[in-house]
Order: sequence, then structure tokens, then C-alpha cells
Amino acid sequence: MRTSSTRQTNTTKTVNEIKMTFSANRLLIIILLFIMLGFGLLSFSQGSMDFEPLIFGLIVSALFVLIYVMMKGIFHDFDRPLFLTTVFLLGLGLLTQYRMNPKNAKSQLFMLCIGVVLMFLCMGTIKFDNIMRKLTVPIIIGSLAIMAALLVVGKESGGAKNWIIIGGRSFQPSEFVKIAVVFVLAHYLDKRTKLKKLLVPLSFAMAIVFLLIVEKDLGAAMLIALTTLIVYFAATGNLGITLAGLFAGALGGIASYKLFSHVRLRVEVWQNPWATYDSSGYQIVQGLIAIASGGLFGAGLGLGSAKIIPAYHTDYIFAVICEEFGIIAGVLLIAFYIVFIIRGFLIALNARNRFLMLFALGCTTLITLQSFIIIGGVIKLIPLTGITLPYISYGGSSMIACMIISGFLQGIAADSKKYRAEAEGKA
Amino acid sequence: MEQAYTIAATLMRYVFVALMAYILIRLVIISIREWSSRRFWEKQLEGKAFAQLEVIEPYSKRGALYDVSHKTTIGRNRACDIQIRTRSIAKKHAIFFVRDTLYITAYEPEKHQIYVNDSPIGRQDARLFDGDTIKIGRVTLKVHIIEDEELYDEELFDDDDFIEYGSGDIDEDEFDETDEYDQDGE
Repeated sequence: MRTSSTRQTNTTKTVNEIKMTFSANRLLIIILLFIMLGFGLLSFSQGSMDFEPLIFGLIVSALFVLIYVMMKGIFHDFDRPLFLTTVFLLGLGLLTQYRMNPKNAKSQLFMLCIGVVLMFLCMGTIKFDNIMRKLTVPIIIGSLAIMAALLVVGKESGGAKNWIIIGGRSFQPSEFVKIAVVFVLAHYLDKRTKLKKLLVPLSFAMAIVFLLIVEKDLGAAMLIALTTLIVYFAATGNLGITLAGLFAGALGGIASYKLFSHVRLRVEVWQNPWATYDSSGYQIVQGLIAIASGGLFGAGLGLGSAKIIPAYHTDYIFAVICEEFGIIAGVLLIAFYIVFIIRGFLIALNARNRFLMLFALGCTTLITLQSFIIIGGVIKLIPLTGITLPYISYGGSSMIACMIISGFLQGIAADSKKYRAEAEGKA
Repeated sequence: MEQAYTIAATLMRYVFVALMAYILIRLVIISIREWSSRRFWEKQLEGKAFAQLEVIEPYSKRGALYDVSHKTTIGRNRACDIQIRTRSIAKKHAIFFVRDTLYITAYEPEKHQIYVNDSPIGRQDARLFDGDTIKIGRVTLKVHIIEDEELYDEELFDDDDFIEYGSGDIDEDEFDETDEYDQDGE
């Protein structure tokens, strides 16, 4: 077989690159316009001009511009669509949090800044993935230790004993342990596909899931279990064992229903929240009323009454957004998460090696499942679980974990584009 | 003032939804443009020869050359770019692809292994250097990386260097009589 080489000019490539960069810059400006319009509107919400929301909006916009400029300078080949999607989600989240409680928004911004620093660190570590992988065993031991420690020293909140207090601030270790599980799975599945050689990572994942169930953090347990199955299937293609795992999970769910009263309560409330409207079903009912009362275009920013929903700033932030911005905005928000997922999967497909591919896939799966589990719970599609809406819900640990995931995804994207650019240069 | 705010917030609802929709559509357009650009370059890579494989074994075909470009497949199947009709090779055994340089990866490493410089590559994408030997089934090939595009000049290579088996592939009867034949090549 013979093929002839082709000679092409680089003109088309340069024009396309310029078009994409220009589009990304312009789109960032539109996103900042959205944020500033929102904060500008909130400046008048108290009946008189209040500059504090405007100043907050300016700080948020400046932070996003700074992050964009730094990323362009340090990691030239990062994934711009993914970055812009993340910025929009963060901006919408901060706007909504400020509308509901300015104090929460300021706390969230502080945690975002910490998250940004960690994001850049994580982006930089991708180049040294071989060194990172040497930390797999300490990561396994550390994760198990901290989850086990929660049984003893953990603080209970919202029915789950999964909080730890450090320096006056409470953290949720499970948010970081889920990233550790994905990391461990990617490390072992890189070179092994036979079940008997995967006992270590699968046992680790199962142990974490078990500890989470004991601590009554069922949402995180379901999230990690499903992510493990998906990453395993992607790595091995073994449909039989994956289905067996799903079946085992379903059996575990049924067993939880029979054994634990709080699980039974959740399922009963999900089936008919109206029957216990004034007690256990109150949250779901108020969430549904909030979504419906907003209509297609919403009640208007600042004109809703979503504060009567319990946990409006965490689990039910999606209902708040639907009430104030409308159901169309809620659907568009879901579409943004779909864009995030597609970009994440593309980053995984283009990764430099198998480990980074599986790691990117696992990180994307975490965000995917987390967003759809909580949105599904809020709209009563599935029983409600106590996990956060990524990038939007109030929660320091959640925000930092999401930014770490973004850091890893962007790092893998930049790393793979560098190799592709070299190949394109040779062509 | 409150009434003014209510009117402003009510009007701004449509602006917010419109902006969200616009941002989403632009993100999708950027992604499609990026994908089209990537497809364009992938097609360029597929057309360009990055290396040549020189047959070492079987002895009777020693010296024969095959071009390797992005996504060149090798296997028993006629649909493969390099067809080798012997049972020791899978229907689709391996694929060559280009990132920063040339790589080879096996389709089913558990069943049909590939050896690069006598070491099995397993599930990994094995990077290939100039002078590396690849063993696929009973066929041994040597890699010649084309460093400079100008080196690949059609005038340097005579048609006689290529096997004249229709598509120019290695056939079963080049091996020992003890080998099993796969007549239909499927």
C-alpha cells in the first residue's frame, strides 16, 4: 500500500485558531455582562441604591478575568469552552447565592479563591503524572483513615455524620475522597483489566461506599458506587461484571430500604410528598411549588420567595434558579452541564495516556452524576439525596473539590493539546 | 423605587434567559468549530506517511516496504490497510497512530499480542522509534521513521520494492508448510 504525502498551507489552521480565540474572548465578556447585569439589578432590590452588590459583582468579574489571563499565560492550550462553561456556572451560582444571602456569597467567594489556587496546582501536576501515581497507596490509606475517623469525631448535619471541624470551619472529607477514588481506579485500571488483579481498587471503592452508608451520606455513596462502575466498564468493556455490580447495588438499595428507617422515609416522601406536606414532605413540595410559580421566564431576580424552602442555598438551589430565572433557564442550566460533560469526555478521549484518559473520564462522571442526581431529586424524578449542585450550591468543600476537578481536566486538556500541536506542526 | 425595581426585574427576566441561550449556543458553536478543525488536521495526518515498515520476517519478503500514516490498520481482514493473511494475526490486529510521534496499539492484546523490540506492549500505546522491530504474529517488521517530509520522494522508491499480491500484502504461503491456511482472509 502506498500513500502520498500532502502539502497544505497553515493558513486555514491559523484562521480557525484566531476565530476560536476571538470567540472565547467575546463570550467571556458576554458572561461577565450577565453577571454584572444581575448584580446591578440587585443593587436596587432594597428600595434604594446599594453599591455593595455592584462591588461584589466587579470583584467576581475581575477574578474571572484574572483567572482567564493567567490560564492563557501559563497553560496556553487549556480547554476554553470548558473554562467558559465553568465560569458561567460559578457566576450564576454566586449571583443566586448573593440574592439569597450576601454573607453566604462572600464565604463562597473566599472558598472559590482557595479553589482557584488549588486548580492551578492541579493543572501543573498533570505533567508529572508518573510521580503522582507513586502516591496511590498513601492516598488509599489516608482516604480510608479520614472516612473511618468521621465515625468517631465526625459532626452530624442534615442526618449525615460526614462533617469534620478544622479551625472553626467545617469540611466534608467525602468531597475529596471521591476524587481520590477516581484517581486510584484510574491508576490500577491503566494496566489491569482482570477482576482478580483489581481487588485493591475495587475493595477500596467498596470500603468507602460502605463507610458513607454507615455515616448516612447516601448521596455520596451512590455517586462513588456509580462512578466506580462506569470507570470500570470504560476501562475493561466487561458488561457482565458491570451489570452484576449494578444488580448488587440495586440489592444494596433494597436492603438499605428494609434496614434503615431514614431510607424508607426518603422513598415514601418521594413517592407522595403531598401526604406529609407539613412535615417530611415540606421541602419537596415547596421546591416543586417554587419551580412551577416561576413559570417559563421566572418571577424575576429578587422577586421570588424561595427562602421558605429548607436548604435553599445547598440542595435546592436549582429550585431557586427556576423560580427566579424561569423553567427555560433551568433547562438551559441542564444544557450547560451537558456541554461540560461533552467537553470532559472529549478531554478524556484526547488524553496523552490511558491513566489520564480514565482519570479525566472519572472526574467528568463525578460532575455528571452529581448534577443529575441532585437535579433529579429536586424535580422529584428520583428520591432526594443530600449532595450539592456542582459550582453553584453553597459549600466550601464542594466548591474546592469542583475546582480541583476542573484543574485536573484542564491540565489533561492542555497536556494533550501540546502533543497534538507538535504533531500538527510536523504535518 | 420598589415598583421600579419590580418592573426592571420583570423585564430583565427575558434578558437573562436570552443571554443564557446566547452563551450556550456560542459554546456549542465554538465546540463544533474546534471539532471541525481537529477533523481537518486528522485527515491531513491520515494522508501523510510518517514512517515505513520494512519486512524482516518472513525471509522471502525481506525488504518489502509499507507506508504508515495516522490510523493505519494492520490485520488479516481485507479492510485493513496492511493485510497479512495468516492465522497468527487477528482480523484487526493493531493500529498505528500519530500524536507527537508514531505509536502502535493492539486491538485485543489479551488474545493477540504485539511485541516491540521483543517486549510485549500489552494494553499500552507503544511509542515507536526509528529502528524498532515490531513482531505481529509470525511477521517481523522494522520501523523507519520519516524525519523530513522531503525524504519521502516517490522517485527514491521503485515499484519493485513492493509485493505484487493485488493489494501488495503478505500471504499465508510465505510461511512454513506447517502453518494453517486462512483461505478466505476473513
